[in-house]
Amino acid sequence: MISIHLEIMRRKPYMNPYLAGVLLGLVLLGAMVISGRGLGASGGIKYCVVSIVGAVSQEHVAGADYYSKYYQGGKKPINNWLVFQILGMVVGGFISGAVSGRLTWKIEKSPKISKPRRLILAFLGGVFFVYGGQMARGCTSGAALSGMAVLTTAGFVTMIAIFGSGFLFAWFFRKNWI
Amino acid sequence: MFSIRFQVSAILVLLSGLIILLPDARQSSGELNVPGMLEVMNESGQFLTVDQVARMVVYEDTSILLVDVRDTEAYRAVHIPGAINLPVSDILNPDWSGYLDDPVVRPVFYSNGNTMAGEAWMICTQKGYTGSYIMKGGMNEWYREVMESTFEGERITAADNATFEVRYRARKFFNRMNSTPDSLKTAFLEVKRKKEDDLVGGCE
Amino acid sequence: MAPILTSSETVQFINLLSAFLVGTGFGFALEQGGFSSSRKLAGMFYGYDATVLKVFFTAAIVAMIGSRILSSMGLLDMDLVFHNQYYIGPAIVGGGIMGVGFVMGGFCPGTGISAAAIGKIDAFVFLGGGAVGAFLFAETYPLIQEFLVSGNRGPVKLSESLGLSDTEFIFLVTVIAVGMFWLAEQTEKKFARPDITKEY
Repeated sequence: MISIHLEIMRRKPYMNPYLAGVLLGLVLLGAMVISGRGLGASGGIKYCVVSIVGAVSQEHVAGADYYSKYYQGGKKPINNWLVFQILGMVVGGFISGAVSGRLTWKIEKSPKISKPRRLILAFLGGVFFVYGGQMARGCTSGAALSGMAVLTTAGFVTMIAIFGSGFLFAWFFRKNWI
Repeated sequence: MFSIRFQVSAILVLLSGLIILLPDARQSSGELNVPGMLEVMNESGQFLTVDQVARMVVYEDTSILLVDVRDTEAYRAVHIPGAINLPVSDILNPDWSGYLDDPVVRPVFYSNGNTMAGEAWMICTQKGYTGSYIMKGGMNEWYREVMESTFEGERITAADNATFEVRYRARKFFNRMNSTPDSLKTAFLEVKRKKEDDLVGGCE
Repeated sequence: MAPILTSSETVQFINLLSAFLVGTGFGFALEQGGFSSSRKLAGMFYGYDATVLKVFFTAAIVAMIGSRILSSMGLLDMDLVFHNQYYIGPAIVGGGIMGVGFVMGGFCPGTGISAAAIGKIDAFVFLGGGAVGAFLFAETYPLIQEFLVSGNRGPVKLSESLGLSDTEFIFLVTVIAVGMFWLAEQTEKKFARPDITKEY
């Protein structure tokens, strides 16, 4: 019993990136075969937010074009494919972390900046990313990855825009990481 | 010892090269390739000539239903008598599926040329509604052959005679029907609208 | 023929359950690949860690090839698989904004979720910011509505735009990707930072 426990707790190295890529590709293929859609994450966040706003204030929802379309016909935005997918992601990520001994509370950052600063940047990063993701109708997994898998121009353009912009602005945030 | 990178790369390059040899996946309606499509259809007998259609119109053949897939304005201006108007942009509307899926009365699509009618045929065939036709050449051909052609030559054969006779009669019918006032034409349209439920008979 | 669950007759419960299962695989694969570490992800932009490129392109290519094989065998109907529409302006501007978010936060929503699942606090904060971003978008929607639907070219495929057949295109992307993998490994050697890459 004890030796099994120790086995699980010992940190394992990450999977070889190419093999991880093959695994991810198969998961994506599985999603296409099962439901005709690719993967996605930022959409799930949106549906959660819309549900919360609806729970807090029905009038606000009724008054706005954007929100009301999610409640049309008595639909509940929380009952959405993407929401359940991200729930699965939490579980899947946890299992992977558990069997690889990587479960840990931690703030990752470069030693050159302080923890609060890292967290502020993480927060802002989130704001920018999901805002941009909603604009481009998908994030790296939803638009870029799933789009590329079906060869759409949108997929490739979105991917190039994300990485191009990342490289462009990387210099400004280098202290954050290195 | 080959690195994993090399192995994975080699396998992917090999596979992607091999799939070039695989048969073409079924063409999606987004990739309509008109000339290639016309070729395929010619072989599989999906075309009716304007003369065949003229004959069916003149003898009021009820085994076909002419479907004008142009927009409503074009239809109202002029259409082949007996045709209903189903713009190709609306073709997947479930209200119309009854017409398109009818095994007894087959739809014959026509437009000004072959493109829109071909599109309509393509969409329906992929949806599983087989047995539809296209009037080859569309309204342009109809005008050229049925409405405006004249026999030029010294002696006419029996076959040609029959053809032209049908054409003349179709001409009269066409001109008469297309000069009816708009209000009558619209009533004609409304009456013909039916839903799929009506067609599926028997023990439900 | 696949896709299996597109019919609206499918019981909602099974639909959502399949989403959960797919998500589990997704989260597992991301975490296994090391995407639960923001420093590893950010490494893409500073040269010391090209894992993002390797995993991303390998995954896309595997899915491209796999779907093409299944589709040719008549086992997968690509007409019923979602093809995202190309809106020129929003794709480029949205992608640009996402890139900034990426280097600031060190995550994207998918990797953020798998990192939060193993306890990374910066990921929690990132996702919190993400929720705010979604809310901001919802509230500013009327202002940018027109822009959001501009430049629609439909679900156009890049293979078509380039005049290649789908399979030729897939082969081209694969070859280019393999070249990029080699280049990436050279870059990683040049900009190596073992202090970062060894920690996990």
